Amino acid sequence: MIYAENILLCIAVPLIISLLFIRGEVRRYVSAFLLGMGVCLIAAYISGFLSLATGMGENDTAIFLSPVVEELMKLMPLLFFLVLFSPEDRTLTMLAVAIGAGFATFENCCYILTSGAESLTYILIRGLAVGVMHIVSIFALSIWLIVAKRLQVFSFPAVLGSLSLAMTFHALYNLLVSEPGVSSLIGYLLPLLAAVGLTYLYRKLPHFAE
Amino acid sequence: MNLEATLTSFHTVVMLIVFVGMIRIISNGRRTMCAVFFSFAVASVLLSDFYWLAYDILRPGTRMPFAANEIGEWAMFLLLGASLTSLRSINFHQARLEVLCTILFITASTALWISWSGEWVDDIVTGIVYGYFLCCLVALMKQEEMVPSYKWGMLGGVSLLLIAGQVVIFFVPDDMKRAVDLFCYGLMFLVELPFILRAMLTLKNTEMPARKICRCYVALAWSVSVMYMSTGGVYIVAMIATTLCFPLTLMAMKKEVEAG
Repeated sequence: MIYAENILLCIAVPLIISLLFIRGEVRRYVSAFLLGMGVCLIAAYISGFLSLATGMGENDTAIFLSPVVEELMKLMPLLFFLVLFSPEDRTLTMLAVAIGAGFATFENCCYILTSGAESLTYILIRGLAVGVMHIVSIFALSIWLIVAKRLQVFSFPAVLGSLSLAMTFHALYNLLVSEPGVSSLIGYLLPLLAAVGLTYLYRKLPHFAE
Repeated sequence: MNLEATLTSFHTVVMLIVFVGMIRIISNGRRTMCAVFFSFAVASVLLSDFYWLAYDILRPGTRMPFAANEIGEWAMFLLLGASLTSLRSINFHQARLEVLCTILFITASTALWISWSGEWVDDIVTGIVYGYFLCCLVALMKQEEMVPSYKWGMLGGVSLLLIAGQVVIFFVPDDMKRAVDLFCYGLMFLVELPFILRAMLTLKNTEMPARKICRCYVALAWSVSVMYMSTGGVYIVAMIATTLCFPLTLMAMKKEVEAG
């Protein structure tokens, strides 16, 4: 058992203090990073509650429930920003990346405290895979929101559909890494391949917006 | 490898081909938001298939406590519906009666799915998202005047007969069940066949690309309905029909993109 909220406080306090001395985009990035960590904690609470309510084990919760909760929780603040403040495209993608990075950082912190950090190779692989996974999924969603809004197809089903797509991708990743061996290897490669694919699609985006 | 895994593998390969085809179309096309939505829908089906296969390999014989691959199917319906709304601005008021009948059909179907599987949450969510797709499709077809009134009536009658047949199965004696079951399957495929043939033929005629897409979606929607209402060998046939609808839609999308 770890005291996740204590860990969050410990990591967040220096960042909160730093907010007093920084301005502009950096301040926004750090705030969104903090938000990402907070969202991660809330997602863990919800997953924990659902785990108890449904009687699922820790492993089953991670495979079946966590992807749904985590992707939904990551999208919430982004959607909130978009609907309420209508930020510029660049600001929205920056916020998305910061939320994803904050989420992944806090998740990794908790993971290391629970499972140890003896194997540097494994920690590097996990750090890379989880980092890319959370950042890529939320970044892709932010791009999707921007394109949908620009082309006036921003609708509840369109957002929910893309969110469900992100959830399925996350669920597949969690399923693959849950078992050791080849499946884990494929699982760790999945976010990287998705990142490459999305970069390719992203380059095509201006073409759509013409 | 069991039959279901073989079938899913076949479905995955087809979806992969369709997805690559869509990426190529998008890369060369312009103003193709409908195609983008469809590509995302295909991607979600593909991920759902990968999930199912990975689960079957990693945890053979165990039941999913929560079918995460169904989220992929929900995404597919939502994105297909969104692709229709991006194709044309849909006015649901013009098709009040048709949309109302669609809602009744999907509500009855959902009740049947629940009674068969007992999975309340999954079936209700599937009903809502599938219903959204069907309502968009029906409203757009009515708006575009693609179907004459008498055919709407025929479709409504068949749907009513089908639901009634499925309900009757719960109450008739066992020896009668098989006959009613066969009648329902016959009815489903009697409608399925012309839908698929029409979708194939429409690709060759001079109809507007948006209409071609609608016709392919109709074939897909009915195939999915048949699949959800079938079991055993009939399910396999329905799944193959559903799989076939995706390449047909790919071709329709190509025409839509080419038309600009």
